[in-house]
Amino acid sequence: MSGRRLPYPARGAPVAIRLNGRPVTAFAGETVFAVLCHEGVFALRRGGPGRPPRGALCGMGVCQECRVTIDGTPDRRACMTLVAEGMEIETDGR
Amino acid sequence: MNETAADVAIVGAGVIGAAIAFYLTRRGIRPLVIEKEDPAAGSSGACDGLVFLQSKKPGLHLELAIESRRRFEELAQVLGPEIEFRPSGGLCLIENEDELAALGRSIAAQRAGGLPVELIAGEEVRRLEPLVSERILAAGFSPLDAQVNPYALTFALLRAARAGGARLLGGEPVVGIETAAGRVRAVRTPRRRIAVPIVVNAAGAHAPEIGRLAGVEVPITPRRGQLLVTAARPPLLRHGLISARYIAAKFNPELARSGEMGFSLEQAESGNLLIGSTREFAGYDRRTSFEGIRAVARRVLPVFPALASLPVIRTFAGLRPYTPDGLPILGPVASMEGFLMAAGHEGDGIALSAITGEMLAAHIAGDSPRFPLEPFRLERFSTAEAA
Amino acid sequence: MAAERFEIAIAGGGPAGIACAAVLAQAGVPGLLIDEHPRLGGPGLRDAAGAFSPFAPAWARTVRAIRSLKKEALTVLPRTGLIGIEPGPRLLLAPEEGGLREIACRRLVIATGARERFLPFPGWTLPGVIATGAVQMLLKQGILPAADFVVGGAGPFLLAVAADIVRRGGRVRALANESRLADLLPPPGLLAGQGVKILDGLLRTLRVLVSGTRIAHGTRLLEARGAGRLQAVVTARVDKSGRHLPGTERVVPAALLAMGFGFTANIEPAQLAGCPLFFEDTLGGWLVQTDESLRTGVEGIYAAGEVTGVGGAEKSLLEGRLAGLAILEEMGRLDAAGRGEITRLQRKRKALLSFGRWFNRPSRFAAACRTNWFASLPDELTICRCEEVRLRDIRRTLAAGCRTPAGIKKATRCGMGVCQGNTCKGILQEVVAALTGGPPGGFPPPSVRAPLRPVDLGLLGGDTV
Ligand SMILES: Cc1cc2nc3c(=O)[nH]c(=O)nc-3n(C[C@H](O)[C@H](O)[C@H](O)COP(=O)(O)OP(=O)(O)OC[C@H]3O[C@@H](n4cnc5c(N)ncnc54)[C@H](O)[C@@H]3O)c2cc1C
Ligand SMILES: Cc1cc2nc3c(=O)[nH]c(=O)nc-3n(C[C@H](O)[C@H](O)[C@H](O)COP(=O)(O)OP(=O)(O)OC[C@H]3O[C@@H](n4cnc5c(N)ncnc54)[C@H](O)[C@@H]3O)c2cc1C
Ligand code: FES
Repeated sequence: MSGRRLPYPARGAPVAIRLNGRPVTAFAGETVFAVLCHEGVFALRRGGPGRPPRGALCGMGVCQECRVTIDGTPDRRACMTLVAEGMEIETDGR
Repeated sequence: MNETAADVAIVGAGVIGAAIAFYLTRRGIRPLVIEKEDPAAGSSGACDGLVFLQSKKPGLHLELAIESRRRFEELAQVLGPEIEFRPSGGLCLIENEDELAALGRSIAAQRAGGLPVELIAGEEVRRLEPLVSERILAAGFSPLDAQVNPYALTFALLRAARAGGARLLGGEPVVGIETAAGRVRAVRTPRRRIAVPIVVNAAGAHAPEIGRLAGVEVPITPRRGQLLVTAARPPLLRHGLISARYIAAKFNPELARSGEMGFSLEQAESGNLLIGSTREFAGYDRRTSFEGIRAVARRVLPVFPALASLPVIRTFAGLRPYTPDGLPILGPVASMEGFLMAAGHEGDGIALSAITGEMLAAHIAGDSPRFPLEPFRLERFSTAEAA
Repeated sequence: MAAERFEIAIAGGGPAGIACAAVLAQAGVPGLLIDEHPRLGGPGLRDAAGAFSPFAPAWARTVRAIRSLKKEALTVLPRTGLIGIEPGPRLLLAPEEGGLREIACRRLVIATGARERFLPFPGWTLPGVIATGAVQMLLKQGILPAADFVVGGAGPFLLAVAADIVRRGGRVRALANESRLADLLPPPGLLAGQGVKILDGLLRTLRVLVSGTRIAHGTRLLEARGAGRLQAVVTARVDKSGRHLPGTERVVPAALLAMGFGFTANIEPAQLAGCPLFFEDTLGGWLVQTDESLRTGVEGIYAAGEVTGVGGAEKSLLEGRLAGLAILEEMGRLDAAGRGEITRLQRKRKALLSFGRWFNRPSRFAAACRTNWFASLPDELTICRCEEVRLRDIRRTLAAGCRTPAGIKKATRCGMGVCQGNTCKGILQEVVAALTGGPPGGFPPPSVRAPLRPVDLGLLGGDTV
């Protein structure tokens, strides 16, 4: 874990999700990208010769670098998806 | 205005212009290639890369294609792996009894014409391509059908031609052709005049404009094709694939209009799937339309339902240079000495590039071409009209 | 295919789109507001909750506008990407769930905002190198993504982000701004109208300085280093012509690099619609051309907000309202007071454009600096992150006779990947301009086609709902 949750008036209710098989508590209203950052997961996919890890860049839906598998569907943008109870997130950058 | 000179000027740096330049330099002739934008800015940069033989009409068309295909192995050796030539074999997918009957006849004729091709049953098709659905009754299979990266081919041909002494003048359109006493003297761009005795019209769908500059009427019409590109995936498909309907639509504009146009499908070496394509007469409009791209998707899905979850990442459209009889227009033009045609390859320009380059180069060098130019000359249309 | 009909469609639910929707909904005009994100507000506001700084009144106004949107007339479609526009205008929409939708509308307002602009440097593809805007959005959601940051790039936004990080308890180990201090100071003419923003800037500077951060101007992000993820950032000073000064390198350990080089407008929907564009580097590059009432060159299509010139939330709010009023006027539904407001807004807009020019200028380097930037980069640097196109490929293709970004794109696949060139097409234009000595904006932006966002083949071929 490398990130921290700060005091935040609009934080939603806790939701239980799984990140690469590991149970994680997130909060309603958070994007998947935010949760990944909080959990210190920055490498999200692999690309290029030698398949080095890649991570999110823009945070706002345009670069497609934050693609992860959500509930079995590949290529979902982490920065454009809000967490939901029971969500399963898989990253490919490990 | 700059004054220069050249032995041969080729108008257009698509795959056809590039192939002619390549084969000319092999005969020691150093042409000047004039391109209004960048190489492959036209159809050769907006198409599939099928070097397909099953889609060719038995007879002249097929013979030309087989001659061209023979040269691809050598091209792959000379130009290197960057052209992504793959002798993958191809399948022509059959969805109903009518298509089966029609393709059966065509296969018999193609075999008689020397093409190794056979009819295989649905199970066999699914063994070769596991993603094909039960809808497919059978398929034509030819081991000679192949794939290539069309842009890379164009660039590689040009690079090799330039290494052999050809020159490329990019970013300059040909805007005038000077003639005197029934022969070509020079071509003009906005920036220069190039004195030249031989001009090759390789401007693809824009060949009529270049023809007009020399007073030559060229019966070529742009026929738009819209294509989808999916995200890259590990290998899913092993062959070049077209549906039997796609071939039928190619030779029958009625069918193309009725929407029964089938599809073509291939996985490029980059992993992206290319799904083609419409056949529309829409002038020089290179945009895609909701209707067009959705129709292409709709046609491929029943045959490849497993591809439904594949993201389409972009679309594009190219203009096939269509001629009334489906054959390219090649060689000298009777009414204008020094003006040569090399355009009108419709949906076959990639596959026919090698033989076109070779035939034009041989003619320009004064050798007798390996394949006769006569049946492809422009005059065949005026004769037909006269008769 | 039958399309659903709406009187007005608004693409983009940032300040501009919201302000426009508010005016129209108030007047009872049936409209549609589309945004691909789950929440309205645009990237600048989106996740912010609670109190707003008194220095950013535009945000509070945006929030009030969102809350007061009259839902009777207005249909709001969040999580819905606009992926195509055809003459009509007809829109092709891709909801996050379910089938595609085709919409026919009489008028369309394009308010698709801006995105961050990036320049490539060694290591920019490492996980942990993320956009300044992304860091800011995380902070606004109440998440501090790391303890140690470097903030770098160019332009005035860097300071704002550094201040936010510090305020939320993070440590900014270095702020490396390629812009020179002199270029960041506002001209006296601007001070008058923008007092609040300027004061805000000063307070932020103080906050960052007090935290012990070194603020270095004329300083470049030379390299991001790390094995598998960012561990350190190398910075170096540059001279006036953009050459880096050997011996001034500093290696700064950090877990995250917040990086950005200003903003660039999301003009793609307008391009699809055939709207004429213009290029003004200091307003953000390629932009949508409009008249004073924000009508584009295409009948029935308006543009509002960052797409007409990157100028901040205040300008976007104003333009959204202005577009809404102009539409009401065209519909014959505006009284004299409304017409008077149009005139006032048009006048005020000019001042906000000046602010935009100041805001963007420092991140747009002079031609010489740009040339030196790209000349100094190594051959193996990745330019297109999706298709893994290296600078080497671009240099080779130029040498092989290609002259335009469009030609290079075809030859190298630069910009042909899943993001459709959103990240690298601007970079490619700048590389080509730098390497050929041409001006930025000398090449038209590459053509765009539907779909603007990846869409599943099954949806494309499926029925519209
Ligand atoms: C969707 C689609 C799919 C296809 N799939 C296949 C396939 O799988 N296999 C296959 O074999 N074929 C395929 N084709 C056909 C193939 O793309 C064309 O036949 C071929 O590219 C034609 O090449 P060309 O060099 O004649 O024309 P182009 O590539 O169009 O080249 C002509 C060049 O001339 C230039 N030019 C025009 N006017 C001027 C001027 N005034 N001055 C200077 N230059 C000028 C243009 O800029 C252009 O670069 C497909 C076509 C389309 C549209
Ligand atoms: C990352 C970032 C951070 C910022 N932070 C601040 C800040 O802290 N303070 C400040 O004063 N200003 C900030 N700004 C600037 C501020 O956001 C803008 O000035 C203002 O919000 C612009 O408003 P707009 O309505 O023109 O566009 P935006 O707010 O950008 O809204 C455009 C909307 O359109 C949507 N959209 C775009 N394309 C499509 C599509 N194809 N389909 C569907 N929807 C689409 C986007 O999701 C977005 O919500 C920031 C800008 C960015 C990009
Ligand atoms: S981080 Fe760029 S699209 Fe999500």
